[in-house]
Amino acid sequence: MMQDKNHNPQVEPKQPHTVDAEVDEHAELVGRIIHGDRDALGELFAIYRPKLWRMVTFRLHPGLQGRIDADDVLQDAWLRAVDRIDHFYKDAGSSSFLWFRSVVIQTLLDLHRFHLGAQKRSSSRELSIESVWGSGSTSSCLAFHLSDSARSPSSNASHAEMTKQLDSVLLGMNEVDREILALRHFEALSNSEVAKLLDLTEQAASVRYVRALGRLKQILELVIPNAFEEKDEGRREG
Amino acid sequence: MNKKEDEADAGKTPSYSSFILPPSSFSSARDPLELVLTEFMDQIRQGKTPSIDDFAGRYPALAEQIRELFPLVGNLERLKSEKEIECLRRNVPKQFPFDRLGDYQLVQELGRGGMGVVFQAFHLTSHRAVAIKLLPWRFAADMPIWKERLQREAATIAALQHPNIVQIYSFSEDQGYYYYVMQLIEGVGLDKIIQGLKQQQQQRGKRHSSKKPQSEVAVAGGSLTHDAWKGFARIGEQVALALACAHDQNVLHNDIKPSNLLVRSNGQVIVTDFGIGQPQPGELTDNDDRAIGTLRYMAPERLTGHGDPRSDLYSLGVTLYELATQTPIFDVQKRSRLNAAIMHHQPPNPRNLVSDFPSSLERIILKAMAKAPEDRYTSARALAQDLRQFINRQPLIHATEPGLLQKAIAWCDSWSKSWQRSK
Repeated sequence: MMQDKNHNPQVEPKQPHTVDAEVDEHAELVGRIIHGDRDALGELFAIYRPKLWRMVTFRLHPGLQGRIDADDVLQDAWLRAVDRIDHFYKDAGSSSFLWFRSVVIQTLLDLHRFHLGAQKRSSSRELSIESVWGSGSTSSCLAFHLSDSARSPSSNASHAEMTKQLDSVLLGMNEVDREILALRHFEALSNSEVAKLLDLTEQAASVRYVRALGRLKQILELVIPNAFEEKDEGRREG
Repeated sequence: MNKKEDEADAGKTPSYSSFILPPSSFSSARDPLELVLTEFMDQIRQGKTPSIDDFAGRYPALAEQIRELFPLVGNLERLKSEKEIECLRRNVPKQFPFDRLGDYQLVQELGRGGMGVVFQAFHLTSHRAVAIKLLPWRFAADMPIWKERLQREAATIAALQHPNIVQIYSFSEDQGYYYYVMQLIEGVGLDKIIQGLKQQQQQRGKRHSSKKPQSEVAVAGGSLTHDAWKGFARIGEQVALALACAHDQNVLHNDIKPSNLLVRSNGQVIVTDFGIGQPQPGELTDNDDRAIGTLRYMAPERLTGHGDPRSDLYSLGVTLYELATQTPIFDVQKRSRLNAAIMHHQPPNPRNLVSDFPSSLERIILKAMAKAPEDRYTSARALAQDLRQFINRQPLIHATEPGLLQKAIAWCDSWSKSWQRSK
């Protein structure tokens, strides 16, 4: 349901946006999007694309790898964003990036439901979407990604074993702490983005991030001793 | 510090090291360590390699925590970019929505590997045939790290002017895709040649006719038999000379293996695919088909740390071993086992596999692929020199025959081992 570019009932700003570096940076685009400009929406989407791609890459369920990829997800998400352009002003709040992110998350969730749902039904088991996308999902994604490079060459533990082990330990972490680590590192979000997303003050987000990092260090030392010691960088000459 | 300076300082941005924060910002004050961590992360994400010691020195009050947590942060960031590269690799499109790049018309895809797809192409006006290596992701421009890797790869190889190293002509961008143009080599991969030699051997075995004329594998103009010792040595010599040129300019190949060595019809070997953007051991997973193909030739020290020129010599040694014996050094299909084999398993000596294998060629190969870097040739040039000596039927200079004393020690050693086994 596309709105006429020149006629958008939600254009009238009820109150000025909070001044925010990110909004400011793309204020011109944001202004055009509020007026229903799809080109501006496309431009802003392109600006955020690497970040969104990163998020999808991290959160794509291992079971879907090889079937759909981050580009597919972003393609679908773009169509959804275009559909929802009229809601941009209301929903984007103080961060247009987080608006795009929520659109992509919703798309990702639907795709997971569709693909994994069909798969589970065929194996005559009801899919609980929480099992794929609940609070445990960040943990299993983290475990999946961490275990891969944490294996030392001499270690014989398989990827699956390591993932399972890490997952169970990471589940013991506080949910918000775990999320903060994923957001700051795997999605490369800033402290203020994390704060907004998790509804924390910047101070709380910042303190919790440091705490979570310390906790993760303890966990890794427990599960994979020495695996995350400092390695010599610059392995590639060239 | 006098009073004036003190006052001036008070108005400045707080220094985190002193933990002084302006009262106005106190309610939203971020953890000072988090601010420093963010700075560190930003530098890593810009492709820099910030030093943890520098940070600890700049923020003495946080030094202890910096040393405690920064290595983990560095590793998380490294892990993330490795993961992203791996995801990109998995998602290389099957087809591309163009058949032209810049002034070049694409003809056909020649291969995929590392971080690129290689095409055969020709220049639209001059009709010169070339090869093009393409970074196969449309939005690569948004992720400067890959563009920079490809660009660095092109610039690095372009700086190496050697008859046995592929020539690079240009680096460009078109329609949001990055690529470089290079010499098109009409040649056969050494992996195919090894395969051919192996098949000929098997057929020979089946016919039980070992006394019939030697089977041959056509290397276009010439031919290579399964025991063309000098032919093998000539291939090795050319690769070693190419490596010597690269090493002289502090460039490592990092991925010497048969499929990266192209043999032309005139016998000339061209070294391709400098592994500047190749997967690190840690980036490869069990599900990755390339894992085995790439790992098998990797030096033990590269699995645990980073290599030096001698790591390339190891890879060349293993390649020569496989070429001359037509037997892979480790016949292992699982990555974890392959890791263990590379670290600890000593493959059988070529002479145990092939009875008429020349002992001096064996010494060269074994020296090149010694597990410990310090037991290998000290330079690619030294390896090339010994191969030349072998070709000229001259005594080797570097891989000299063990002296009588060493022989005696080796004999005692093996005797005592067998004695202990028999106990």
